[in-house]
Amino acid sequence: MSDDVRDETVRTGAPGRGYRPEGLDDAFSDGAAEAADRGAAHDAATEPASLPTLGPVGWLRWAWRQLTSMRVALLLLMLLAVAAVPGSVFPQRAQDPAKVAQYLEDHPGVGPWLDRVQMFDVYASVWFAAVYLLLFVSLVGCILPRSRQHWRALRGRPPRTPRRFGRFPAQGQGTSAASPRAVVEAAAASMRRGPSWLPFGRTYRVDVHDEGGGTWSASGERGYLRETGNLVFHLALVGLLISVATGQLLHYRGQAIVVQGRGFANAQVDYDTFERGSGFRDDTLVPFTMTLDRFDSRFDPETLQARDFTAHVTLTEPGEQARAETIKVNHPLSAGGAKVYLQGNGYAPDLTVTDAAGEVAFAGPVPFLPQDEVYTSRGVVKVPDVSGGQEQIGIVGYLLPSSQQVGPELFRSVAPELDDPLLVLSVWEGNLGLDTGVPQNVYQLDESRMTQATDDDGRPVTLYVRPGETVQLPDGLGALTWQGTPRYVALDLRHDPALGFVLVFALTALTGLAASLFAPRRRLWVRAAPGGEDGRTVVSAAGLARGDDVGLAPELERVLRDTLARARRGTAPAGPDRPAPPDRPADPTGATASRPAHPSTLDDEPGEPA
Amino acid sequence: MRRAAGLLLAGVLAVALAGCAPETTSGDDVVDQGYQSGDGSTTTWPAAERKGPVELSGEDFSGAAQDVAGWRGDVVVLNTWYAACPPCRAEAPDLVALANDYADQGVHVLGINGTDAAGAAEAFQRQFDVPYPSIADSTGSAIAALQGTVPVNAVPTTVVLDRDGKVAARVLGLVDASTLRTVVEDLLAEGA
Repeated sequence: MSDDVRDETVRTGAPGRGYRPEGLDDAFSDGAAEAADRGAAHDAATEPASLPTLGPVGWLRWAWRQLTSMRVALLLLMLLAVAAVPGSVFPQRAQDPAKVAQYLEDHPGVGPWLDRVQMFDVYASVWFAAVYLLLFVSLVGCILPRSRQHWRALRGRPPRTPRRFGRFPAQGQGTSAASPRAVVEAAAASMRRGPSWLPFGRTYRVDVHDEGGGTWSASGERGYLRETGNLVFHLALVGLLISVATGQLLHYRGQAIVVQGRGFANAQVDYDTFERGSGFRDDTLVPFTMTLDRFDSRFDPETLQARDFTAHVTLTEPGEQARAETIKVNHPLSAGGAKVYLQGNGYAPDLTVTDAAGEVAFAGPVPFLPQDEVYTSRGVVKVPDVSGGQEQIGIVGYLLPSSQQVGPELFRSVAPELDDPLLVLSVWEGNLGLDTGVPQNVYQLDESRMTQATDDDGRPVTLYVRPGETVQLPDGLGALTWQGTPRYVALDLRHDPALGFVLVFALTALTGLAASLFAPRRRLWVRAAPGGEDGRTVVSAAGLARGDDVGLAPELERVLRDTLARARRGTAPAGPDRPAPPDRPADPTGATASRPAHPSTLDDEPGEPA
Repeated sequence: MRRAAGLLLAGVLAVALAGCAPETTSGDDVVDQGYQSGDGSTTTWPAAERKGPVELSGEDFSGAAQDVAGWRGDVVVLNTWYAACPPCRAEAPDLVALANDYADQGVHVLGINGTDAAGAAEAFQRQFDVPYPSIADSTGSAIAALQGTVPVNAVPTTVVLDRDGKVAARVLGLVDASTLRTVVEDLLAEGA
């Protein structure tokens, strides 16, 4: 620690760094910190042997300071980015549990170890949570003290006018016939007013000081909005995080497939997939129902790109009359506190399968999942309930909405519209595996206990079916009839009560960010002293800004010009005021400008008579 | 820098927290199984805390009207199912046996099938010799009516109503035959 302090001393003591404009012992100059360092260095130099010891409380304090420091916050942020990397390297359970299972199967050695350190649940892992919670604490620990500090600063007064203006980045001089007090009051009024085009943005908080000896000065400060914006931004970020977390806790999201002419109830049982936050209570799921009446799709005939999808639905909310609604891709429907998005669509051929005894063993629409842009769709028909001890039937195959023969027994779809639909199916018989109670994928046939139907030559049988046709299944299994082709939609239902808050906090954060970026923080001082030539008042002004501020010099010039004009109007016309260019000081006894602050436009122009 | 850091943090945290949501499905689930399975968990409510009565009516697959309200004074077992759902098939023989065994004590069993068309549903009923009717819930209104009283979270879900038509028990997932019989017998004893 003492080494650090000595380093610090060398640097503070270095020429050119020690200078600090007077009266600026605050955030503008970091003077307080330097003074403290100097004191510490002094102590360390005189008592080199006694290293300070930290008690438990001291260590805690030290740890807290470290945690809430900028450096550690950045470090944690980097760490968070690094910690997120495995999430894109390894398959994640949240996104694709099948891939995780596959990975574990392919890597029996490292797989279980990776699983043990939660590499497949990175974003829900303990170590990832540790990093972002620390970051969250760091953020809060940084903002709260800063807010308190800023609150005090907001109610403070502008700093007193420094004695010398020589080293300030922007300076200006002039003379006036008015009394010093009148000039300074004119300056105060000028600073308070601001330009007319922006009613609230540019007014200064101004103090007028009587410095004795007939000299008066005004000090003004503006740009409190900058720090306010900064803090609002950070507080809004915290709010954003809390809202997102709350939303995650209380949200639910589910997907469901609804076939034309059929309905859907907002109950978990009717979802294909459903996930919810741990704070969501089942009984708050609003039991509305929705029936798909019609589905319209439009495709570009050239590119086959989708132009428009519209689902016409009938929505019945509890205790209300049924009403017709539409859902489009970017126009979700609000129902029961949830947003219903149109996520996908396809064809669900209405098929009837009769078994060998002629009994209907299966009937109904079967959703086929589109595999490409021309809606070549894959589907599975499971026929478990065949009568008379017959083997169960499984039918898998493709729907080609606009079929085109490209070879012997070779078809493909050329367009997504139902132009010349064709079902290309293969038939399996055996045990579907449904009766054991073990869950299985509804879109896949578990072929492990089934055999594919073949013809006399031992080649697999392929059935080609067109709408309205009835084809005989091979091996005398029965028959299949294609009754019609209703559409289906895949719906995505989301409920997140915190979304409104997320929006508000996001907008607040942006506003705060804009304010902290674009609100300039400036201090201006104007001093008026008697003793110019012909008994005129010598006016000098200086400006200081936080950071690089190209607007400072023009602003100072505006204020100075306006001050002199106001002072002139306030007194009898005794002669032209002579604002002097800052790089040619009018008062040779005054402080010389160390560097020209801005190209002068204040010239020896004759003043207008009042 | 700090601002950029903050924005990034928000983004990352949003992703991170999204991962916090617990899995709600049971351990045997497979990808794309297409339905919400239950873990067989049974919930029972003592008489004072029961919600209801359940108002549930509709047409069964043969076209006959069914209304739970007509069975007040009797114990009613409601069961959601569809033909290609493995646990539904596994529990069907137990439900059929229950319906047959307790028919003379006034126990009514009513299926609710919102998935299948008549052909598939009737084939299932033929296959398992199902003696009880099932509502053809093609619009989802029967499920919605039930959800309004008790959350229906899985296929199959079995709900047992007491003699007042109030929800006395709910089983999510494959029902255990002896558990269900115990529940039914307790409820029968209540009214006696």
